[in-house]
Amino acid sequence: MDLKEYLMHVLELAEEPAIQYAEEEPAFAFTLEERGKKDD
Amino acid sequence: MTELFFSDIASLSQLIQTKKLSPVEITDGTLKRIEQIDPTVNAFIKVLAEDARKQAVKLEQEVMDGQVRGPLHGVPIAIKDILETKGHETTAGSRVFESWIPDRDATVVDKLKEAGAIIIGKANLHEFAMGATTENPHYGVCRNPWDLERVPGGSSGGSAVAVATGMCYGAIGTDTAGSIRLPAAICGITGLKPTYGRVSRNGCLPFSWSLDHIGPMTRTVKDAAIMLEAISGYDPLDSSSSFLPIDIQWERGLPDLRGIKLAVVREHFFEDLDSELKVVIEQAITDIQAQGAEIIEIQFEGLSDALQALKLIAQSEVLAFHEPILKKHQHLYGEDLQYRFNFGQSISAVQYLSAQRIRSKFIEEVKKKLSGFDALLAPANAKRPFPIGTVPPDQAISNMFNLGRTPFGNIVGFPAMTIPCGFMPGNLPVGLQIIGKPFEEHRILQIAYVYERSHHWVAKLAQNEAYLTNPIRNS
Repeated sequence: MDLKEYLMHVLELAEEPAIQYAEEEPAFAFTLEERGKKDD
Repeated sequence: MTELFFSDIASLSQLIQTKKLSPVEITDGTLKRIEQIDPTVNAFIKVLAEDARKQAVKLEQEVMDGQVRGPLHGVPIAIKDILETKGHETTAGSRVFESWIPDRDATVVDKLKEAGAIIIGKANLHEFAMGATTENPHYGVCRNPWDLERVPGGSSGGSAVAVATGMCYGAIGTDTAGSIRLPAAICGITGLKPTYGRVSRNGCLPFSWSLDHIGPMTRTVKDAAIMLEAISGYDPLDSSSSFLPIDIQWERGLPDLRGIKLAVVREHFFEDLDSELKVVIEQAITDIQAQGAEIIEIQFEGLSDALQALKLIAQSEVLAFHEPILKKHQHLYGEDLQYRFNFGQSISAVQYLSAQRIRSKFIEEVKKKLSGFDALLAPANAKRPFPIGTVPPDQAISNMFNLGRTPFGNIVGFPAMTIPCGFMPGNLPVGLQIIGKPFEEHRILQIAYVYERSHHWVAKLAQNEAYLTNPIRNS
């Protein structure tokens, strides 16, 4: 079972907790240049 | 046989690749070792014996077929129980997640499996990784292998203890204010917190998303490099992920430390240290200087404010994740976490945003000041680890700052590692912290490697066996 499913269906939460690793803009990160992103 | 349990990964890999030892033999031996030692120290929440044996059989066949995946092929590794493992409970050391069985592996676990590692078990931790002692109210207290009446540090205490006692050959920890480096230092092993973004956090339950890091805990510097290489790399499932490859040439080129320039900051890092620990750290710095490094004292403007900002950021972000759960299941949390959440609730949005601004400004200051240096040296642990059961729950937030000098690495996101550098009276290990510049893990590994080559503190781990297996007779 994935995390969101566990939170919403097993823990039966009324609202979804913030999970900010993948989907959203990072609150803090090194710049794309610093992270080695090259223009395609 | 004890000697084998304390082997480094690189040596063990040689034995596997030359077919002198098989992954099945190593796994069975490790599982027996856990049966023998873990009841004393409680490093594991769950041992994955059946899965580990199945994986070992498969990997053994690959060796026989001449298909060795790399240095982690057939090597038992422990995972802090806050990282998702497909088909196995991932509790985060909590009651809240006691019945959660993820349907996928965290990216780090996936990468380790791809590299041929055998996941031997899920390591104990401070509840939700939110503390420095690993006195877990739900899964039991994890004990310091050097003094069983003291804490092993935290939050990755189980991972550190498993490595320090030969119950695995390496482990994964997480680090939000020092949770890899502090227990590693206290337990006498190597711990590496990589640069923020170097290792994907996908599949790790969040503590504080702008401060969380994942990294290796090992007995040697080379083993840390082997594990880092396996778990790092770009991951589209982590929005802060780095595209940069690890410089795998780290092991070459440094016969000594001549030409290496290292900074030391006395403010904060060397204040309020245990006096006997301070002697050990100063000696390590003197030794590094004797190996040719140039040591220069510098200062950072705004250091104190930046460390205060970390507390505000961590307590705000942790609450953002837990608040909806707290509304319904507050009774499932340990007492010390309740104090943390209360503090988090008192922080305003303005304070949080101001803290992030202080942090950004401070990072620029540190980048500027370290621009002419290879790394910064500092203590990792700062005090004798607390006797078990003596820390009041309302001191949970300040514990990491009392016990360690590690939060700096998280507020700036720079790579930082600890290596053993000696012992305080009472046979309690001391860790030397080496903090590098962003994405320059290779440089701190090089410096650590040169120091380690001439200081064989790692040998003391196996020598602790007599105390560990008969603490009463030897106390």
